[in-house]
Amino acid sequence: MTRQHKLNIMKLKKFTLLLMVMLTTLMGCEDFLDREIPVNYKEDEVFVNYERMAQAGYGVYTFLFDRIGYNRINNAMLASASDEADHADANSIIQRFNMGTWNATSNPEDCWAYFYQGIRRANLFLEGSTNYKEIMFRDITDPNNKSKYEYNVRDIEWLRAEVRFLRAYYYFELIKRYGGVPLVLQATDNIEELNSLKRKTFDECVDFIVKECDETVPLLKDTWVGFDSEKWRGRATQGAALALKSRLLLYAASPLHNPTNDLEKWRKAAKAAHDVIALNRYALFNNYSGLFRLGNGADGNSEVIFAQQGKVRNDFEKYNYPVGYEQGGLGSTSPSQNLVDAYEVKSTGVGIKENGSNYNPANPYADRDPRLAMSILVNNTTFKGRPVESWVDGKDGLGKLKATTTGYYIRKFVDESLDLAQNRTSVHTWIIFRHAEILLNFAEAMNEAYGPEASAGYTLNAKKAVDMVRNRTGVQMPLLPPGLSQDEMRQRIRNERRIELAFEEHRFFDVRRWKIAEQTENMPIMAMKITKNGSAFNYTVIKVEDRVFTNRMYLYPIPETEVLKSNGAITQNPGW
Amino acid sequence: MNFQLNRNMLLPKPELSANRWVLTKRLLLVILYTLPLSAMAQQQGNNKPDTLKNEAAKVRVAYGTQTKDQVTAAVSSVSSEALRKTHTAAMSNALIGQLPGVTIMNTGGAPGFDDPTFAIRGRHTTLNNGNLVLVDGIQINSLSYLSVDEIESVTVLKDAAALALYGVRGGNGALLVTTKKGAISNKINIAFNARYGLQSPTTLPKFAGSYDYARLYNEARANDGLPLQYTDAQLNGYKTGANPYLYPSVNWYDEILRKNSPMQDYSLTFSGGNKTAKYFLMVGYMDNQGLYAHTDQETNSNINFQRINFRGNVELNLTKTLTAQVGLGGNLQDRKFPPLATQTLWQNMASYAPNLYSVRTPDGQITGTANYPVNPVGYLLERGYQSRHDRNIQSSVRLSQQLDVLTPGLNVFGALMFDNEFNSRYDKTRNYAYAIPQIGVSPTGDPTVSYIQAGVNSDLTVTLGDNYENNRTILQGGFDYARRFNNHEVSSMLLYQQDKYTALGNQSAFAMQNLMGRFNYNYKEKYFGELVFSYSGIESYAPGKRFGLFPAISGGWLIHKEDFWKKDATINYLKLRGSVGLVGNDKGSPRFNYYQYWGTATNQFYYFGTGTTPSNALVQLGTANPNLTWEKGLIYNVGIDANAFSNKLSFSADFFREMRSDILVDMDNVTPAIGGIEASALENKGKVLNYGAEIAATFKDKAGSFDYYVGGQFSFARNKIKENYDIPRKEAYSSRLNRSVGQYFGLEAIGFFKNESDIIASPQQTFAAVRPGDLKYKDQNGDGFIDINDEVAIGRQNYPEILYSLNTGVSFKGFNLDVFFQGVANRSVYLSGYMFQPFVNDANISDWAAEGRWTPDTHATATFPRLTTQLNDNNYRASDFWVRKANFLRLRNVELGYTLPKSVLGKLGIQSIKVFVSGLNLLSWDDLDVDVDPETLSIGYPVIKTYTAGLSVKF
Repeated sequence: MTRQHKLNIMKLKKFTLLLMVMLTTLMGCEDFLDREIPVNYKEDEVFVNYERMAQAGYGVYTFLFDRIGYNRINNAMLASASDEADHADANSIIQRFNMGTWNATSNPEDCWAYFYQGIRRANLFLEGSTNYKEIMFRDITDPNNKSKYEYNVRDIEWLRAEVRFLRAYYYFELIKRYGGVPLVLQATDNIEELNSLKRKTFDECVDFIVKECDETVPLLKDTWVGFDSEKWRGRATQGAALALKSRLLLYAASPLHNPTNDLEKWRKAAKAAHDVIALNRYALFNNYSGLFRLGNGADGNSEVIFAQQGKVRNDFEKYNYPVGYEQGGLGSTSPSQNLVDAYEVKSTGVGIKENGSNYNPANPYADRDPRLAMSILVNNTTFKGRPVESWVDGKDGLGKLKATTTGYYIRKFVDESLDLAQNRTSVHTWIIFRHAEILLNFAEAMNEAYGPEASAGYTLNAKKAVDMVRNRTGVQMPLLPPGLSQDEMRQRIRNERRIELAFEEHRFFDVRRWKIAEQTENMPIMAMKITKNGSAFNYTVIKVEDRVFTNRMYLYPIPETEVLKSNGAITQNPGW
Repeated sequence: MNFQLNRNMLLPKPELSANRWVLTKRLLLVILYTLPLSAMAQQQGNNKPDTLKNEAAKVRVAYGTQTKDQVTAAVSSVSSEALRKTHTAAMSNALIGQLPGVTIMNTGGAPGFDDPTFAIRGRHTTLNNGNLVLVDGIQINSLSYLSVDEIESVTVLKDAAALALYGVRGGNGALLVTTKKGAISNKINIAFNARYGLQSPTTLPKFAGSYDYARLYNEARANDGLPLQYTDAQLNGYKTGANPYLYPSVNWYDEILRKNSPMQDYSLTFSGGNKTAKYFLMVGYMDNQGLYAHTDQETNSNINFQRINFRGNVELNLTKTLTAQVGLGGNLQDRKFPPLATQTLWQNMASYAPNLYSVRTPDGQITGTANYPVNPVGYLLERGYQSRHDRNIQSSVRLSQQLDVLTPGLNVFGALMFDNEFNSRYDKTRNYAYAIPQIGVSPTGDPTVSYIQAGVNSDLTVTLGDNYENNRTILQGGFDYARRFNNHEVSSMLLYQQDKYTALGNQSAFAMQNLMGRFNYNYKEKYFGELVFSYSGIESYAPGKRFGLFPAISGGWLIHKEDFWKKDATINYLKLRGSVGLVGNDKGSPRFNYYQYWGTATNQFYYFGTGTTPSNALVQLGTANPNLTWEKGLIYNVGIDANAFSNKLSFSADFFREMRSDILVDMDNVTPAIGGIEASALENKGKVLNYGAEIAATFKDKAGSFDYYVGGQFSFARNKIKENYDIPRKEAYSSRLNRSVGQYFGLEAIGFFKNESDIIASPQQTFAAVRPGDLKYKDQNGDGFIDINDEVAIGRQNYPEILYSLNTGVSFKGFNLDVFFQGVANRSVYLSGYMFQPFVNDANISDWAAEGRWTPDTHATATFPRLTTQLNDNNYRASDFWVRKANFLRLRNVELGYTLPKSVLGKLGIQSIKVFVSGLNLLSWDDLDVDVDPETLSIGYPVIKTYTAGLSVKF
């Protein structure tokens, strides 16, 4: 070995040493890269105390916001996708419903992913809070906090029941659109596991929701009114779960889902509606138009069973004030002549086309069901201090850019007092379940199960239930005549439902479950063309647009990408 | 309100504004401080000849330099002399077409906001393709704001051998800016440069006047089945234009713009040195004014940009073996602009209907309406201004100690570097009263216009604040070693670096650690081999997932040195080289996504009780992925460098292929929605293949007293998505696999519907009700419906696959003429927005749409659908109707110069004087049928052309 060689080896050793020193330094300061400043909770820091657990539960409530209520489909109401109304903006995607140009890739009201997100949040909450008592006990450090502990335990117990109710409600929202759906009852993101879940039948889903309602009713609070400084008003109650069951069983008994007309299903629906009535907690409110402007904590009203607590907003008014009002009239809901014609004549209590109805086509809005004027702004009625000019060439009339396309504007829900120029806003709640619907659910189920005036051991019969709705203070329509046939009663109930629940997202689904959409939704939407002649008006009914409804549209298509993703687990609905 | 309308719009205001005076003062201060320094440096000079190698002749590579022979990686560079010929405000725009493989696209010429977009070798990934920019080793965000006179060269690093040292940051390529350094000289070299240019738009779109607007609006209303908007009397009023207040017809471009705007820059540099000290000092000033006219009062401001650049590089030999390099450089940027976003102002100019209102009332007051309160002239001239003041400073100290005592050729070195960016804001804004025109009827029944007042004039209010700072600290240390043993030469470098970067909006600092090594070997300076590696870690990933190894090997063979190569061969230099290696890219990757977090989120609350106090919800946030890691690119590169005809011709070519893997994909695309996951995990599963070539050649020769050169560059890069976990698509032709990143997809338009029976006979189009004159689409899958399942690949993508440029020039007895063309090809653009959607939101109609529109009479020749006043969901959706080939060729630059002969200057003590005129973006050629600039296709601030005169003096 030469000297040079030795030296080289020494150098190599030195180098290796240096390298090792540097590497060690590098490894030693791995913490140089520990830079994260967490601003959120790690998963195992969530279900550790009352506050966070409760907040995780509130996350399930948030899904009440976006798929029900105001301006929610490209600024349109769902009503504009039914024979209740036309949407003034011809380019809104809601028009696809009306033109029949929608499919599994372009459903304007697709809710599939949305409600499953709410369901996942419910599952995460229910799983995370399973041992809530133990968790909160662990969290108690001061024995004097016993009362607080007890309160918290009670509250989470209620909240867990509410979340189960909400999950059931979201499943109902899915099945009323899509038919039977996969029941996902555990939170998972495992693709194989999810793809092993096939669609259940509609009835299996109904059974699940019924079971959830039945199990949660005893766990839910009776009412939040008068409790803890009213701070929890708006949370779900026993009444809400029973009302959901009533609506669910009514849908399940209806022709769309009950093709053999199994009367047992109607009997169950009648019983479920009666269960709500029998709570004796709810009654009709004496102010029909005020009912829809109640604000948050609407459950303090006798009629309200469950409502979406509302946001402060004015977009609904911006869209729905007649076009001639300042800052209003962005062009929205134009109630149809079809709906206007369904309001009966007040003095006679029958439809305008019936013989002897007393209807005067030259003065079409006089002597009509008071709910017409409370729900729809008709020509020349005073609104915000001046008459609405719905006539051709009037300030709000047909033909003006973004004006009504039907001669009518919506009045229900609208806050007439808002000063839009000042950008004022108000709370807009949306009632999900109210007593009048329960009465009509009961009437419909009773009529189908037992006939128009049979009581079948209940305190009410179909006719009496409808009459209660008609006889509301401030409405006071003549009671139904006795002795109607079952079919006549069916038509009266359906019409009553159409009037009483107008624009409340019932009609769109009612015509589907009754399987009459192929008639009602294929009829053209009609308008009232009003011309002013001095101080008099001429009224002509004209056609606005043709509508298209085909057999496959009774159920929504499953989003096409979901069918493709699922490797065959999710089957498409017929016709799509 | 008095207003001088007939000021000379062409000239900038001669007086210094207060703001400019501040800048001038700063400039003077910088000069005052730097002069003594340079004098000091001069004193230390011993006028000894420079025995060191000329650094400038070396090729810049990551963390060092190499000789041309040594280079085995794919790198290209451009010198500041070449960049100087192009007069642009943002230095980066001068780089367009200069570096093979680098795509730089203009984004419009708004002063101070004209940063172009960069891409090196096309697209590597479906996510972030941003590249690394370093100035003397310090990472910065943009090289737009450097002065060309502080730069020695800009180098692009392209392959793995060139980039592996940058570890997780290097994957998308890097641009290295090297600033000028002093050299040993027996005098102070002083250079002064001045340029003054006038900018104007390359093109402005043309829109209708009021008569055409109203007439066509009526046509559109009729097409929609709606009542007409304008009466014959109104149309006639617009036609005659007799009453411009009742029947205004405003061309907003004419109201707001002046013909051209000045841009000027000046620089002064000092350099020199001796055995102990070498220095380079530079100060520069740049001022770029915008195109807005009449913006010279207190209540408004043009859009303008002023910049001071300074840089000092000093190298000191502290002992015989210890050298220190100290660098300090930076810039001060002052921007002033109207309090209306530039994009909005230009969009309003383009889109506001000509008959909306007259600009002013007969009394000269600004008008407005409730729906259109933003009168563009009013907002520009009456609302005050905003300003931003930025300061960027990079500083570095580097020490290098020779360790020949330990072993010859060994050095140890260390460096500390800082980059500080400070930004502040100063706004002075006010509101103004405006008049709302009201159309009424006179007693004689004629229409009249009267005005009602709205708003109030308020005083200018100052808004300060939003100050923020970004800081980067870099620490480096390492060894290098180079020695020759007979025919064997080895060199190596081992280096550790850590970076810490704190930036606005990121609570957690960015951090990086990198251990790097480079080992070179050559045999007889003929066969070269190199191994580089970095062991690189960043803070965003889970502990244990933060570090990665990025190695690359490369080799070169100088064939002309072989014995078999004839000494007098035509090709007198020939090198083959090749490399393969791994690079990383962490851009586009979320930080700290390894834990599953819960937190509050936007709109996630509910109201309880009777009020509207929200109870916030705690929700599961984006799904965690503890295995998250960076993208990896395996890059192969082969290259050839050759000179021929006694070095008159130089030629270089590179061919590359990169497989980028571990690109993040959104698992939401493939996760069933019944899982209810709101934000699915991102997983490293995507793959993109990118391949291409760059070729560059220059021929230089003399013919008599003529010196001339011809050079050209050609770059090609094509990519294909190989794996993307896209949402499932029903039809195979809709698949994004094996398509380019950004490939346009849409329907195939097959003409316009002729009439109702044509509509009935055609497959149903499901987007909106169609009428004759609407676009008719091809039913690709034959299911009788036109829906998104009929979407196919249309055109290409919005970035070019091919770049080319040609530069040529002659010089003759002091005169020089240089011409530079640059072009792109294999690029598509998608036409959307106001320019192409007339009457939507009552916007104006372009001449292009008006001339090409479908009517029953023109149905055979129409090039635009029937007019409509609505946002037609059938026509205005992705289809090949809106896709255009957007290839273009531009005369980027011409320079004509004259350098005064030495004989004249010698007496004045001046080394050289050059005067020149030049023009930027003077001509362009493209295939577009629309009168918009082919590079931006924007109705925002336009691409500009510039005429410049300049002077360079060297003392």
